[in-house]
Formats: sequence, structure tokens, C-alpha cells
Amino acid sequence: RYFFFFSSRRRHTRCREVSWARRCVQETGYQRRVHGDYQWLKMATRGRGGQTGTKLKMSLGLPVGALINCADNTGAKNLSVIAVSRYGGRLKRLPAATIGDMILCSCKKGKPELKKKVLQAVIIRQRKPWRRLDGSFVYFEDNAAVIVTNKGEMKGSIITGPVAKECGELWPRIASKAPAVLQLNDYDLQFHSQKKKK
Amino acid sequence: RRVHGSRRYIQYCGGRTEAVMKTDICSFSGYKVMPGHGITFVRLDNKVFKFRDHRVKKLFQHKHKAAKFRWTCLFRRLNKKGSIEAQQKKLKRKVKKETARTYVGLNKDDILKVRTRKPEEKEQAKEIAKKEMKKRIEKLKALKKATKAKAAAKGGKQLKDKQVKTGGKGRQRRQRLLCWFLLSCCIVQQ
Repeated sequence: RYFFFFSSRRRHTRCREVSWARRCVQETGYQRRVHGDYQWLKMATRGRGGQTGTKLKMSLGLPVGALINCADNTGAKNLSVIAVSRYGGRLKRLPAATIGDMILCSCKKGKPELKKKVLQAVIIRQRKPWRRLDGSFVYFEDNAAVIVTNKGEMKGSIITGPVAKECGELWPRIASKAPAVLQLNDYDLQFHSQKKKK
Repeated sequence: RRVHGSRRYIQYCGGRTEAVMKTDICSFSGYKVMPGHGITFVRLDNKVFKFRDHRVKKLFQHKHKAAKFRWTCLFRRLNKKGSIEAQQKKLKRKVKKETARTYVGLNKDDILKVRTRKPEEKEQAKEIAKKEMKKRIEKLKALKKATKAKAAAKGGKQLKDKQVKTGGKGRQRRQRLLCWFLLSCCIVQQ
């Protein structure tokens, strides 16, 4: 059997990672997860409001201050990221969010009832390409979030535009309101079914 | 490459998963995108675009038309470039070479000869075989009659019944054996 040693040095080289994952899956038949993933697994036990399951580490595309679209019919047009839920922190580092993260935000444009207050939202789309386990990089056309209650239930009733698969898996309430097509690959579908088997 | 580091990760993974890695087609250039390469773009209208590399992605983002770039598959298709070659390639399929293995009692060359016989020769051989078979069957029948006569002389319905019972299957089996034997004889003769 052909095992690959994943040294700390190698961890940061992207191209190696990609081919490693691919070869890993093909030759050894083992699914390889990013080391950061294990950290997320630990975090999941603490219990997020309304969130189900764990999330792999993804490229964080939306730091504090980002102005993103609101993709539901609540009446808000914009959402400005104030904080990211469950963010650890590092000196001088802006908390950044990615798809499936719950954020604290405020509406800058839209209905006056929603303005000038802190809202909770979940990010469903990001422009920053992130890496999927099959080695492919994906990105959307815009950054978007949907306003959400404490428990993870959507405030609005309709979502415009596609929802990332990563978000849909994590937030079932959002997935249920998502339009017909979630961004799913064939690979992801296989992957998905295997996860369910476990 | 050391082994022990990765074993830990595999433990966390908790089991084997198999995945089929599919090669995609670049939506701009039309070339294959191998697994782990390229970038996928999802538009707001749920359309998915796969790009082979940055260059192609940038062209798309600058709203260039693939049909205007000479090297893309779309251009080639629209301007009918290289289709003849593709067709020729399809026609140029390898002719399967007839090979045979030697078995005990049968030589490789003999087997090949039988296999690569022309249809007329085949028919001839068949007819010869049929004739031979008929002869043999008749011989057998004669033998049968003789044995029957003997049995009748000895006396006993039992023998008759026995022969009647085995008449169906046994006859077929004998015929089959004959055919096989004759064919192999033909092969050897040739």
C-alpha cells in the first residue's frame, strides 16, 4: 500500500495537497481530510444554534466590514459583516467568514425596520474560491447571505440564486428553502451518500 | 516517504471511501480538465462553468467569445477544422490479429487454420462431417440391431425396456460425441 506522509511543510503547498488527495482517493482508497478538519470536528460537539454536523475548513472570503447581498425576501438588500460566530481570534486579525458561517451583521440598504440593528445571517455564497475535497476549486458570482434567527431558522421565505452545498448540509432549514439546484457535483453526491452510510 | 504520519489521519477518516474522479471539459476551450485541476464558477442563474486554467478563466471574465479564439474546440467545430482527421482516426482501428494457443493434442497452427477458413471451405468441411456422421450413425444402428437381436435371442423384455429408456439421451449424447470427434478429426486431417 502506498501511503503519503503529510509533513507540516507540505501542508502549505497547495498543488501537492491537491494531487495527494486525488491520488489518495484513487490508489489507497482512503478519504483524506485536511488537518484543520479535525479541529472543526472537535468544535462541533459544543453545539451551534441550528447548525447540524461539521464543516471542513474553507477559504475565508468575507472579513469584518464586507458588504454582501441579502439573498432572501426579508426586504434587506445589503448586509455588512460585523462579526463571525464562533471565531477564535488572533491579534489584529479581522474575523472572516465563509460559506456556512453564521455572522452578525447589519443592513445598510433596505427596509427601515431591518436597518440600524444587529441581525444574524448565514452565508450561502462567496466569491472567494474554496477547495473541495475532490481537489476542485469553486466560487460563486457574488457574496450572499440569508437572514436567520438564533435557532437557524430563516426569516425570509425565498432564497434567490444558488446555495452552496456546504451551507445546505450544515443548515437544513436553509437547504429546504433553497431553489431546486444546490451546487452539487457528482463526486459530492457519491461522497454524500457515503457519509450517510456511516 | 515515511508512513507513520499519514496513518493517524487515516484513523480519523475512519474507513475506506472510494470515489470516481471524473475528467471534466473546460467550458471555454473544450479541453479536458483533469481531477484536481482547474476552477469551477457558478453563476447566479445556476449555470456551472469549468475552466481549465487562469488564462481561460480570465478570457471568460472579460466576456470574450470562445468561438473567436482559434485554438478552442468551439472555433474548430464551427469552422470545420480537423474533423476529417478525427474521422480518419476512427476508421483507423487496429485489425485484430488471429492468435491461438496450443493445447494437448491440437497444434496452434491447426487451430488457426480451422478458424481462418474461408466460408466455402467451411461448408465443404461441414458436409464431409455430416456424411461421416451419417455413416457412423448407421454403423451404430447396425450394431444396435445386432445387439438387440442377440438380446432377443437370449430372451427378456427387460433388456428391451432398458434400451428404450436410454434411447433418447444416450443417442443425443453419442451423436454429440461423434460430432466432436469428427470435427477434431477434420482439424487434424487438415
